[in-house]
Amino acid sequence: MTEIFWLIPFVPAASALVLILFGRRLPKRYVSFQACGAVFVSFGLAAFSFFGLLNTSPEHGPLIKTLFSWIGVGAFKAGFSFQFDPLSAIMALVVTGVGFLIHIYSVGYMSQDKGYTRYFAHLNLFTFAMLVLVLASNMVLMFVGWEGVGLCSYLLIGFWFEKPSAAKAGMKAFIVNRIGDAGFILGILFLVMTVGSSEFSAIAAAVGNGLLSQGLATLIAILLFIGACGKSAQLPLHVWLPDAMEGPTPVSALIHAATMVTAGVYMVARLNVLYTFSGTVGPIIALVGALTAVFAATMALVQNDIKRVLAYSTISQLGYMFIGCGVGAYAAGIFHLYTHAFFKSLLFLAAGSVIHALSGEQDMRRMGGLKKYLPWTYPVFLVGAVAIAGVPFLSGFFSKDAILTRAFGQRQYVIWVLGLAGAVMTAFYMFRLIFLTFYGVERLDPEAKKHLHESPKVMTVPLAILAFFSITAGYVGLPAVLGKKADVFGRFLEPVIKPAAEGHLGLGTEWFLILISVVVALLGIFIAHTFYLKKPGIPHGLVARFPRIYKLIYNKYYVDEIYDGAVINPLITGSEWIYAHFDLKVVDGTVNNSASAVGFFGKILSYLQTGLVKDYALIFLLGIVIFIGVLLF
Amino acid sequence: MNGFGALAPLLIIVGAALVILLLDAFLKKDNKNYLACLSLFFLVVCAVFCLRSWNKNLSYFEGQLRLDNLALFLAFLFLIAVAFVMFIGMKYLTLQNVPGGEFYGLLLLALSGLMIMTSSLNFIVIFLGLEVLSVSSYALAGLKGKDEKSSESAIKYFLMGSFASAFLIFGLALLFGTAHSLEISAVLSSFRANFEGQLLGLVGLGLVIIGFAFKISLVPFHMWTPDVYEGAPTPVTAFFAVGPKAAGFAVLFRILAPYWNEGFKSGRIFDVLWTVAALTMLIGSLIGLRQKNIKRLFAYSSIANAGYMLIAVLAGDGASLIFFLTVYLFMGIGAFGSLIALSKKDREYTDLEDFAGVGFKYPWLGAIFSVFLLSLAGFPPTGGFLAKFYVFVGAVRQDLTSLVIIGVLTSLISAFYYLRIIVYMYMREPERDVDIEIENPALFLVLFLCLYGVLQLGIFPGNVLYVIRQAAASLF
Amino acid sequence: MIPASYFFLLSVVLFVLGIIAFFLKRDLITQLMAVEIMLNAANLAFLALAKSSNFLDAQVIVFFIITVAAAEAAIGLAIVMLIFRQKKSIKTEDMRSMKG
Repeated sequence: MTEIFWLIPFVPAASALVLILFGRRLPKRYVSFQACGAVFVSFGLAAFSFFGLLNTSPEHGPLIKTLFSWIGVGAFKAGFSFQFDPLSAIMALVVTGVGFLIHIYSVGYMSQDKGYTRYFAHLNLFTFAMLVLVLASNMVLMFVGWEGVGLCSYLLIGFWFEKPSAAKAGMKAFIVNRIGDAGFILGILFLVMTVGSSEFSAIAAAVGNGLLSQGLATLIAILLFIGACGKSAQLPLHVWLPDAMEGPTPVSALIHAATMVTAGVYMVARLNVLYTFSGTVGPIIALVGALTAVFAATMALVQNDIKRVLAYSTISQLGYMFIGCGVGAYAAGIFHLYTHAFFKSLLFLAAGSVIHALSGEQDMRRMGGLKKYLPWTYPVFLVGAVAIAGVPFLSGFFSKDAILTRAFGQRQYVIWVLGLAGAVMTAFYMFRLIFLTFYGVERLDPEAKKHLHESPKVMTVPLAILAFFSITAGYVGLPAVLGKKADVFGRFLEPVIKPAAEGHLGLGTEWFLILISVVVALLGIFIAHTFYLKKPGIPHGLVARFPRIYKLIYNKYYVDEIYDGAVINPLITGSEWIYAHFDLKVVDGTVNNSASAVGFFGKILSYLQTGLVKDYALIFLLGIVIFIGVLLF
Repeated sequence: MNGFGALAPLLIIVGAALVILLLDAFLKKDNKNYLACLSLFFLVVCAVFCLRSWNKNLSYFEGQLRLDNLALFLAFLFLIAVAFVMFIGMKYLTLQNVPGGEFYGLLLLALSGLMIMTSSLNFIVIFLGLEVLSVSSYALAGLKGKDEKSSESAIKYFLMGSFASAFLIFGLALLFGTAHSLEISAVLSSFRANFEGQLLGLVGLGLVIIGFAFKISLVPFHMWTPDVYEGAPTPVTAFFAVGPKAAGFAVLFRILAPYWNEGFKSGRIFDVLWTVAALTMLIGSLIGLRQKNIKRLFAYSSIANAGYMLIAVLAGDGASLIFFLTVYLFMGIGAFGSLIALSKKDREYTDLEDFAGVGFKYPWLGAIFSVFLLSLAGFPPTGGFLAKFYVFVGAVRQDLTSLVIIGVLTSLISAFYYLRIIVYMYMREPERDVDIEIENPALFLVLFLCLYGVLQLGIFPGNVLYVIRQAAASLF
Repeated sequence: MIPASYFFLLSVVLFVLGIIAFFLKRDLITQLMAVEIMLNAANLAFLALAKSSNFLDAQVIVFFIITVAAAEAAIGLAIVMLIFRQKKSIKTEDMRSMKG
């Protein structure tokens, strides 16, 4: 019975197939029932297998189910085989659990869309690919899932292809991800060359018995990390994620927050033996993660689009996960992945609810004072924001603290300080978002205000469930100060991720670090409160009567407020400068320029193709002369 | 072993070609589909003979014609390819005014050329096969008589082809001068006697390789490819993309694999071909980015793919090469078949813009075409991914790492132009009025078979690989 | 008796002349002839090399090649005819509707 786990990915696959082939003839109600039901069945199977796993002793090793042998080149074999161990169990539960809630939410969110069936077909297909990714027992099959989720994500980003920006964003995601994929596939090829297998167990064994030299392990680790950077939007391959927000909001929640973008973290954690062995790659990952965490957080400070704030926030949080992996705290990285899945998808869905309520408005400058109109969305949004900001007793606090404590324990003080800086900004931009959206004056478009309404139950109930988990999910991984057994999560993962035999920090130091984390979070919220709420702004009446004039004043007020803050002033302007000059020009520009450089070479070369036979023959002849010349001399 | 069985498949095909051409000349009927059925019948008979000869290693004409497993497997591939091309040709012939009798007859003649090429170990026989193939190819390219592009492609193909043939013959003469024989094994053993010694022989071998490099469009001998692919009637282009390419690579492999085994892996020919492979992949993927005409784009795609196949040749990895050729057959014909599916009377749709919004107008066609494009781009779990993966794995093991890196990077670039077609199909509003005038069942049958092939080879390649290994093993 | 190597040299010269003609001439018919010269030069090289090593197989092979050259010439002329009927011109410069 325990082997039933291999069915988990195939339920959504079957559903997707039915929807693609016969979707046009199926009634809408049935489509939503089937799509959600399939993911729910998957979730049930995953939960069932999970409990089965809890009851077996870890000595058994991972459950492996080989469906059929797939690839065989000489001694190298890769089966179409799935693996179920604590790590993949957690991932499968997150994917199907959060995925199910997002499916339900989508029923409400997409109800008016004409591509309803297509949407659910793609969403199911995505779930299938993501489950293949996390359940695969070897790198090659993982790559199948890896490319699969990528394809589905391009399709879903460009879902509203009528918008040119959406189609363009899909293409951009594709190009940037291909760079990462090249690293990934080269890494696999090197693995196959040196280890002769791409099974995770074989890789671990090869590291154990010295089959893999440290230099090669480092090379492979770096190549694979490039792949992870592409998929998980780390510096400098992060540029596609903010643009990916062109897709429907539930897609952003599922793909660009909870599941696909975390695939890179999962992969690094899955190969933790390799990464630990290579030694030198760890600090690189930690540094990239820390830089990304801070860099993306500064970007989030100045965005006015509610979804782009969350997008940069996701990049930043992924940075934290990589910090965890980089300093050897793989379990903490996965722990943050797991808590982040709840609160970030909550935030996205709640933002979607706001957008839905405002008939598609995404600009926070045209929101404000929504608290009383959205009695359901507001509290859950607040829960999400508090959780991500790292306020004690909510999930985000525990996971972020676990990572930063470990960084400190590894004496990576630079990383630790960067992490703290990111944490202040996280708290700040989240509450800036809250205050701009739900508090203060109403700056709504009068047209949108007419239709202002709270979302239907089908959307708010998933939000409530996610909010519940955003609060409680952290209690399975309490910090070590509360006793050796407090970290249930880490101990559950031990069969996959060996805990490093690190010298424990003193009890006092740990409490001190926790205190700092708390202070940092509260500081961020306090600053945001000062700058966006304390000065209540302009009287409501004025707003109602002169919306345009108000807008003018508001903007001025906004700028004044920024310049008032001597502490924030350099930061904000600096961030804006970085955003305008570095992110938009250098990083974005590099992607665009390298694409156009490639195109340029193509253009030059295609001039050779003149259409004249004589020119063709001339090149042919030149080729012969060079060919023979090289042979002779 | 001597046996008439070795000759039978070839005789059937040549006989069929003559019968078809004669029938076409004497029986004037408007509908030429019966000729297709007749050709198909001959193809099936031929396939049965091929199957019966498996593992028997038959030979005829004192070993000049030998049906080893490699030759049989390739013959089988060619039979499938030609049958598919005939099927996708049916719709094209009726709509685009192409004479049916010549089409089927010349295809069968070309097929016999392919079979001769791959079932001999003697250079002169291989050359004769190549010429039978070439002569019928020139005619096939110009078959759309009223279309200026078609005849232009024919004359370009002809001039470049005979230009290349002259060098090939000259190379054969030089080889004969040094080895006094044109058996591949004898020629190679003369090389063993004096280590790449006799310059004339080396030049001869170089020229011969160039002669085949022309046929499989390796850079810089590829210049004809885009023009011919664009101008030739689409089913003929599909044939060019898979048939001659497979045969050319098989011959190249038959020459070079033993040559590498003699210890010439560090020799100059290897180095030159290494560079050629890199250039081929680069040129194919870079210029492809600029193309607006899909047939032309596929031409560059086929050039880039030739580069990957050459990697397999350099690695001496026969199984990967044949697997790649097999997969390429299905995805190549599938892709061209999808192009043909979208056409109406005297009008073809081959511009990128024509495909805007096709994914919604014709969901089935869009979905199938997308699978072929994804396979060409090398996305798992399609056959295209596995084909490249095998080639790369084999090459990495032979220390061709830098070539593999180039391969991975160029497939990254070329993935862009395949995906662009999908983007046009699914992310654009229809811009032009396109049409599937006739729902041709034969065409859709081929599309589904190709789809099945691409997925089967991508997900369950086991059985086919087993057979391919047997075929590749017959080389040594 | 003239040494066989002279014939070989002659064949090389003829071959190069053929190449030059192929590039210098501007109409399809002459280019076709240039290619024929190249084919026949190669054939001559075959004979010369065979003669120098006293292997008579080559004499047979040469017949094959002559046949091939004839077939090529026939199909080439047919295509040139086709083009002339369409364009009323056989200049190579006119054959460039496809490029890039």
